Amino acid sequence: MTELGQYLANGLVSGAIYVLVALGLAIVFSTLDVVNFAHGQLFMLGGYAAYVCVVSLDLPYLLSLPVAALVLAVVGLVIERLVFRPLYDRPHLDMILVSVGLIQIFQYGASWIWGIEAREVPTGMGPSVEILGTGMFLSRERLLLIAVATLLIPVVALLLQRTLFGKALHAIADDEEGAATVGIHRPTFASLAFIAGAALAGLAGALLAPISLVSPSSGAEVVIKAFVILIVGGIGSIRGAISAGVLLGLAEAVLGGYLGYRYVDVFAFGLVIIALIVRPQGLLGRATRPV
Amino acid sequence: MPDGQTADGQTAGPPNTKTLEVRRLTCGYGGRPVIFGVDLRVRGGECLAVLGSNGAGKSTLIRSIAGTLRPVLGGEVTVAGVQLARAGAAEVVRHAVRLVPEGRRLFPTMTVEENIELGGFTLRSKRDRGRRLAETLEAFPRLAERRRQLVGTLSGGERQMTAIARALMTDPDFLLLDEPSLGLAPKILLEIGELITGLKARGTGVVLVEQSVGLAELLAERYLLLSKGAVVARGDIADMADRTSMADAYLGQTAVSAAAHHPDRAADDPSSAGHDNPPPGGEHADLP
Amino acid sequence: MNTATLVHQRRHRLLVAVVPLALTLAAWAYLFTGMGDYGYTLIILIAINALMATSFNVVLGRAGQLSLAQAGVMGAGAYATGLLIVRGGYAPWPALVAAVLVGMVFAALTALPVLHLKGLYFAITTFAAGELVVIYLGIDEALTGGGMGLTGIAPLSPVHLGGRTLLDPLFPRDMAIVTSLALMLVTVLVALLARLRVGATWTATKDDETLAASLGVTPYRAKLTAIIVSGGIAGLAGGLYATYLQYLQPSQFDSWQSIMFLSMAVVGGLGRTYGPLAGAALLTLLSEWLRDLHLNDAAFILSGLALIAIVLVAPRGIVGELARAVPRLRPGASPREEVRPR
Repeated sequence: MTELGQYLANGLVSGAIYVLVALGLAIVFSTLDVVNFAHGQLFMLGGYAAYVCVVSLDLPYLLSLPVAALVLAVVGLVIERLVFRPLYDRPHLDMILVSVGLIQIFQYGASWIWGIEAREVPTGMGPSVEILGTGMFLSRERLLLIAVATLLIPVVALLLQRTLFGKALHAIADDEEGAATVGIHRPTFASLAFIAGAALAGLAGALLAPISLVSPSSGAEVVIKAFVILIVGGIGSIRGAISAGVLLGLAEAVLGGYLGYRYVDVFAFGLVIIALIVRPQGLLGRATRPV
Repeated sequence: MPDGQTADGQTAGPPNTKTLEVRRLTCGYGGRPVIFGVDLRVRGGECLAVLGSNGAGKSTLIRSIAGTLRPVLGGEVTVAGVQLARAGAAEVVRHAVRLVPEGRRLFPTMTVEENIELGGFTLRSKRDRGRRLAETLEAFPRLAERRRQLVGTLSGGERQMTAIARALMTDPDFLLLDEPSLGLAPKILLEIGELITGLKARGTGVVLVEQSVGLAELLAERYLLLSKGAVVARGDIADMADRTSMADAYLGQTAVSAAAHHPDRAADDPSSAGHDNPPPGGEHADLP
Repeated sequence: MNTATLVHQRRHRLLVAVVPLALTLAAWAYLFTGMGDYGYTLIILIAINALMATSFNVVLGRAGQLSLAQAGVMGAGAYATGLLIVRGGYAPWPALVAAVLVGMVFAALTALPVLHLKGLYFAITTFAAGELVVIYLGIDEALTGGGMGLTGIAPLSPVHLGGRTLLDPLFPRDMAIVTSLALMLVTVLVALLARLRVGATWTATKDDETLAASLGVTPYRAKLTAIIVSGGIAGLAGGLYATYLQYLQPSQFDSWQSIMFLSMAVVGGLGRTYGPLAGAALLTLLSEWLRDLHLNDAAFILSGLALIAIVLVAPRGIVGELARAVPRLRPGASPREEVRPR
């Protein structure tokens, strides 16, 4: 029983990360109608931002979280302005291609600077904590991650669903021309979307860094999981993305725990293919976009 | 709104004495001009009809005035002397010029209320937006009933009403209507005509873009005929000489006048409701 | 587009084809005569990479579908060849033919269920399918050797003609000839297909699916044929790669490789006959040169930068921009306006 509990707790950790990354991906997607394939590398850079803060600059880990978010917000703004903005009126494929170029630049840039081997981010947060006398242990870093995600995810969801900012993003996704008519300036919102999306990815990367080490390739896998979540949850559906993310995290942890971790990715990739065949508008939510 | 009152009890202020003026406007797509040096002027309470056949450049002209088509290649757009030819759409909206675009351009996965509320995107405070939303819904009881419905579930006429209501959120001095009659039944057109007449009476200046003369005859004092991006005729709509031959020459519709006298021939075309592809001119709904 | 412009364009195409062909032959001759085994190795790498870029060029450049399963398909072809040789005891040449067939079938199977989906969904599903291949190759240790790799793959056997050995691909020089011939054959075949009806259905589907359907083209069939052709090419590249390296590992075919091949296709010029070769040659030589300087990472960074720079400032790719520039040199000829759909 404690074994299952342990798996579920681990699943919650990865589920929380998936959701944070997927929400950022979705925010950018709503303004550009294009997925930024390099979003996972922003997550990876967030991990290195935390690493630099803690190891190179000797700052406390907790401080490295906002720093990572901030640094990545700047990176997001820069890539939107330099690379994506000139392509607004060009075919969608062009934006996908530059995002693929960014993957290479970020991933191998990180490998050049910090080397291929995984880096550890020590937090000095102390030993694992037993959960309410259940015999189950969770590291403090994991507890922090779950706590931050539990607070942040509803805030982001509310931001997207209730505020004028969120409604403007939704409007751009629904009808670009209509959005322009009411005075919504798409380039401004694309910048804001990149800032927000990259900051979320950076924060997620920094949160996971002490738990699973940082390496140049650590973003590759998580972004694919984020795609899986968005598709299974129904693109454009925030609630769908959140439930899909948590469920995928839990399912992977349980499957991985009992069957072996090599089958975990088979499950995720198989799931997205099945979802697209069976119900392309999303298994858990309803896509607001044409499929 | 019809009574000229706002919710907090103030009157709407002095009548609109502003003028929307367009001088030698040249604009188009990707640096290639489609509109060549067009002049027009509308005062508060007036309606100017911009007529022309499909592809004459009417939408290009009106979108350039509204700021949703940039850059402008030459000329001026001023409201009460303020230069807006280089301003973005939000800036134009803030200067009380609102566009109701061709094909409505509503947000299909949002409710009627959310659509209208977003019309007030440029309003600074949330309180203002809430107040204007309440007022606007009050002025459109039919939309108020359907406020929680997705706009995708509305009829063509209701969608057009929603688009107009969205534009009225900022209480504009000038309303630019791009083919509002598209695909609507005569009865609904009359309703929209009444609504716009009411707005004019309150001092709103209207630019009405139409392919056919029907709604324009009802609402406009003056007209401007556009062909291949240039003005080929203008004047009082009452003096519009020999309408049938003009329609022949520029609108590509021989049946304009005839259809105007046989409203039954032009039914509400459901396939084009809420759609941005204009139906062939001959099928067009006209007022009796 | 009327017939006159079409004929006009074809004449341009022919004219433009001469320049890269001459350049290629010159470069090939240089690598052959001047550099010994290293030159041959470069030719082999460029040819195999160019085959993969061609595979992308067919499905993306000509039919407009972003399939990210290409490296996975290559892996399927490579492992088919390797397994038939190592585990099945087949001769290498038939095993190479099998790679082509496996590539075609495999590409069709991955794409069939999702062909009706819009671009983004198609890209993500094919990405997942490609990754699944790599994962499977790693998991089934009994068959493939798993992450440890598949060893002992025999090189292509010598080709005899009238008692004399014509080619022995065990030697880099001969393998370079084999891969070059394969590339040439595939390039000519693709150029021919593009001029046939099937090629026209690809272009029509790429430009505007709805319009294509209204003109009697079945977009579904057009996409499927493009995917099968590109799958066959990827399978061939995989088979050649297996017999050349004589050793296979799943990670050689992950999605990062797909991205590299995609970059080559885009840098060279999507939809251009010589685009894949130009892109593969440039990026392969660049990365080999940087690898010699022990700057492996820089090679990938530069390929990323090249991809972005090409998309931003020269979206037609090297060959495409060249094609636009060449007619411009002649008086009276205006460059072709390409309208690219969103």
